Amino acid sequence: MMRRLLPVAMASVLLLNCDNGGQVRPGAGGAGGGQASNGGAGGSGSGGNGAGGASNKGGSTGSGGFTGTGGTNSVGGSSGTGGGMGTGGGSAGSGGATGSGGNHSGGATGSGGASGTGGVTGAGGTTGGSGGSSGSGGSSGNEANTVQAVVDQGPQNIGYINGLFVTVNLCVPGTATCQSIDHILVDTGSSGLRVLESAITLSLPSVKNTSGNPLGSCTQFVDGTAWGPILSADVKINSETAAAISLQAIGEKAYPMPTGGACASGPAITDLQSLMANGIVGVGIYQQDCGDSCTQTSRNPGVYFACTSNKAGGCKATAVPLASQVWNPIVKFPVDNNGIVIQLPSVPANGAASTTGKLIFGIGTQPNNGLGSATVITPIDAYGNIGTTFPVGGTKYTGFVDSGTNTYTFLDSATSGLALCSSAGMSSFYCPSTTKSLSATIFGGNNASTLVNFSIGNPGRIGASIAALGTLGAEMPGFPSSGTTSIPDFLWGLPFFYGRTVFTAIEKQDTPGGQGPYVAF
Amino acid sequence: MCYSRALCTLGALAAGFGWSYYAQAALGEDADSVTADQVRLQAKLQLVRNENHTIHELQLPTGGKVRQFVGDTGKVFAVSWSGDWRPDLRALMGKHYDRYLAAMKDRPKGHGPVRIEIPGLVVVMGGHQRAFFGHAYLTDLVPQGFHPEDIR
Repeated sequence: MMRRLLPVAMASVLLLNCDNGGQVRPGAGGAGGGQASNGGAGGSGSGGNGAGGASNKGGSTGSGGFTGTGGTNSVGGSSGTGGGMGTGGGSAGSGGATGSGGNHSGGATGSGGASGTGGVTGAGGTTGGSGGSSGSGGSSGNEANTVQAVVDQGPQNIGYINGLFVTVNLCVPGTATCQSIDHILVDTGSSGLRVLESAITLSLPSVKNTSGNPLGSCTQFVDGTAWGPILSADVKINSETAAAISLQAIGEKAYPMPTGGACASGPAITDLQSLMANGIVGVGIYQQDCGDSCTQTSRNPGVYFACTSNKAGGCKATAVPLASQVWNPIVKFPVDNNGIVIQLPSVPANGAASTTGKLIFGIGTQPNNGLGSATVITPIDAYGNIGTTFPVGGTKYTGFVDSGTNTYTFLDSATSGLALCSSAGMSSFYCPSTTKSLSATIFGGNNASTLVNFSIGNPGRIGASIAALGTLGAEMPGFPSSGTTSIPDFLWGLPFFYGRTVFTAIEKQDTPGGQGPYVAF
Repeated sequence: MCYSRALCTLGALAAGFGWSYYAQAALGEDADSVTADQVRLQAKLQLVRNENHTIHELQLPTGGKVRQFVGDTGKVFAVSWSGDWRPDLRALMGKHYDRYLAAMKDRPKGHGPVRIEIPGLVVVMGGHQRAFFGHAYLTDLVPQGFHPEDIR
């Protein structure tokens, strides 16, 4: 199978070309670009955002649609949008969303294609087709609460390892004036949508304080601080919409980043190079990024600002009501709003150039998001952390499950027994001579516990094309800690999600597994 | 009067925007102004006297904590922070902040906890939204017999 990385402008960043796109199976989820030759189409193409075509150069063989998006190309899908955007699967959205059916991995999950009918008839014609519209999507393709999630090298082939991305649509509130933005990092360790200012082509209204001054925010992440204005948009992910919610645009185009306080708390995240994604969607346990403390003057951490001028110092820290804060968009969906599910396939021990799974909205709200036999693990402290015993029957530590961290980050070399890498810049990564299989027990404040098997390998041997690596491990900086429970000693990053179905329940929201917050798997 | 391991609360002030000001007793500098910090920060200051150093712990109105570790020479050799959000690290790390920022540029791609180790300076940052922690220390100023893992 030939693969090639094709950087394509907006809306489709990384696409894989695949030679069997050509196979036209009935259905195929609409196939957007289906027969659209050369994908040129994409843009105009079809379903939704034309993805199909675009993503497949293979178009000539008719593939677009079919493998189209989604499919095959694992990646393609993602950006391609297939699904997310309704492309191929057109109205059904499906194809892509469910991944595709296609030829690789997606296949496992995707059935979109199977029953869709759009494909062939969609015929996008030279423009990429409209297959989409006629696609009726497959049985599982019609999952309005699902969006395809892809692990690849990130936007513009930036070289991300273990970054999970989705495509998100922004619309001017209450209008059909929208754009789609690919490569939004899925982060269960934060809450709220943040998108690079430079990626936003819409004119979105500012969110203002009671004096009419636009708001901005210095949002802290573990390794940097993102600055930018707070804007209002209808946020659509596949077919679910969070209407008129606050999001953060990341960048200094509107206002220069303040220099002190919460803004002087690590490297500035203001552009693609520092974010390494076109945006980040926090789908974690909190409803808003800050919550009650930011509504008060007495214990305000100063992460929100009101701007009276676009000159240096023109933005001053301020309190903001919950309604104006940046919300976890999931909570604002009319349905399927109590949490999310991330479902990713296993990846080979040596890694993969990409892999495709699903981000599903809601827990126990639809046939596709039930807890099943998953164990519900509630926090053990006020910080949302969970417990981890390592090795099994051994020492108890604090842990946290975080899709936005790209490694298993835990303990130190002396405690884990794993050797560290020696190469420059890699010295905090584990580099065992052979892949080590490890086990731990994750436990919750609810006394539930479950066994977790995981492996740590040697990243020194992976190829440059690898973006999904399930054995990537690193030391926890600052370990050992002397007894502060807020510090997680085990950060279960994205590698933990491979081969698992992981639920993240949002605070104060009811689910069949009880009220959030919790994680379950 | 403070005794070993005893806590001395020097004061507590009322509510207000606590973020507007930040510590002046930066890493590597004299600790003289810690009391002034406490006033500016409207924070509770507690002193913990240990064998070869004193911990000046500021309990911020935001719920967070900042600790400055002061050696017998009167210099701040380590700082740490914990809480929902990070404090002003430029103020806390002083002239070492820019070196730390420069070193951050050399990290591998991806997001996750941080450990920066450059000549004379170690910086650690961890946690997740609404639960951040970290510390920084100057290797040349750490008192004999002091263990960096005790910087909390």
